[in-house]
Amino acid sequence: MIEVRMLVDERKLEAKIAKGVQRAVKALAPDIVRIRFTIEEDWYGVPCVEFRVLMSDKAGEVPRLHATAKRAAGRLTREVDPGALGLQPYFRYRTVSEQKELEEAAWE
Amino acid sequence: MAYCDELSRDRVRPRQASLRRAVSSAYYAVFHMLVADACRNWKLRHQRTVLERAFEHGRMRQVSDKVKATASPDLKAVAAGFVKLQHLRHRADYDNSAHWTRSDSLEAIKTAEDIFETWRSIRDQPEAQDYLLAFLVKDR
Repeated sequence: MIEVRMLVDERKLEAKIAKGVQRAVKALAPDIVRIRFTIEEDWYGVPCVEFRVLMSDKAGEVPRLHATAKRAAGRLTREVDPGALGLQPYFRYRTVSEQKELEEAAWE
Repeated sequence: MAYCDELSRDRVRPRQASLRRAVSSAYYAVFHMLVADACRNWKLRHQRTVLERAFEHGRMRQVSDKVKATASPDLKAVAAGFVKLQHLRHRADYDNSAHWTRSDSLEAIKTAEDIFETWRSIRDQPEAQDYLLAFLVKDR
């Protein structure tokens, strides 16, 4: 019973985060193409959410990269509010071209 | 932070090993800066290298988590950046399933550069010094 409840809670949490992510992607388009995420524990055992932010090639060019990343992290933090959900947020970044080369399923 | 220039210039796709090393180095640059600053307060110079060995990554994470909730915005930024880099470093050093990109590594290096810059402006403030001391002195 406890396991079922935990599963339901996790699903609810995922759905909540997904809604926030959806809002963030909408606000950040076209610089941000999509955002995927995983809820897990970090190396220190703290519950965390790792966002995988896929940027357009233009937004990920070196002079703009940091501004794009900062804007995406800020917007995601506002829309999802991971702290209020008891999650430490982490962010990973890559461009469309980089993903095309790596073809990593977790980023699709 | 020479990696940053190398990665920015490199037109060929960098190797995974180079990207991982760049992330790991970004973290260790910050780690060693904080440890060195903490040890600067120790009067006997020849003992500083011995003292440096007393710093633990886990303890520094714990202190940074605590500081993130209470400190001034600048110190919060340093602590949050430290936690972020520590996470990335763990991924880079121990998770072979994770692939790295130039964007990811450059962003980690930029985070380290930002921490250096912010830290320089607050390092002598009492709360920054308390942050350093807390790495060594456990709560009672």
